[in-house]
Amino acid sequence: MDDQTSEQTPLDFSALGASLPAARFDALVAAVARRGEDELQRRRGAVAVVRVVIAWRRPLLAVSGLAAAAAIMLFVRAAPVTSAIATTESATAGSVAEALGVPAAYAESVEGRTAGAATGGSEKQ
Amino acid sequence: MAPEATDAQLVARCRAGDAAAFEALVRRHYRATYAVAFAVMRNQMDAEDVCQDAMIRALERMEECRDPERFGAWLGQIARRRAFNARDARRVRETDDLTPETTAGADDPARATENEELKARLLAALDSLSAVQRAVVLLHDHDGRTHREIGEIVGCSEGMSQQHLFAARKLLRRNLGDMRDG
Repeated sequence: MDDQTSEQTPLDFSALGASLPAARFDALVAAVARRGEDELQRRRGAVAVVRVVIAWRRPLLAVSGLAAAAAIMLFVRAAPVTSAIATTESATAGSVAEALGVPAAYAESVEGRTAGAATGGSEKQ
Repeated sequence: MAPEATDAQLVARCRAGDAAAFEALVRRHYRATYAVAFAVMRNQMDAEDVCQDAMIRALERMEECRDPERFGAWLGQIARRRAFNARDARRVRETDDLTPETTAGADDPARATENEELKARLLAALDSLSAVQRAVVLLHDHDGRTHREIGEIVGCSEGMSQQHLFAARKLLRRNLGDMRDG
């Protein structure tokens, strides 16, 4: 056999035992499959979680919408607090006059003169 | 008869945890992966260990397979890396386990002895090759892979794979001939 022919002719490696008889091959494949079961189970679990979320997407969206609506309503109801704050401020002013010992009627008349002076009118009659 | 699933289809199913798809991939690629491992380890038991480790590693990192149609080549690369790592860390075995091939010949001791002698000669001849040449000649002549597939596994071009194959065959025949004459 010349060099060129020998280079193109495959060699027989069956004697190496690398050929793996059928029974041995099946046993090796089964062993690999057993070793991979934990990882496969983990993957199946991850897929199951995603599937549950997809299956329950409408109820989940509905609950989210309700929660958002409730939050908005709570926010809107909190708006009257600002007028309550203004009432508190006027009440605070009256309270200050009383705290200083100024009779309430006198405090009111002073406030009335002050407002009239500001507008250019006269209280005198 | 239903067409066989492609590697890409089996990889997609494996990613979802399909055990049957994983077994199908193992059956399809075990022999080639074993040949790659054997080329480095030159020992059946070690090659089987490396092959199994490589397949489990591939399963754990299945998302990193960027081209599922070439799963075999990607798996071969994993096996090759693991084989080199295992070879570097390998402990010397004091005794060889009986292989099925050895026990199969137990009924015919003469044949078993002849097989063992041939095996020893082949292993010695393979020692004269580089790891790449060993991988190429085993993948091609033993496992029937194309040069394109071999190139993807060992990391060379198709042309280089052919050159490695011719060089390996020539060297092996010369060494085997020398042993026979010597």
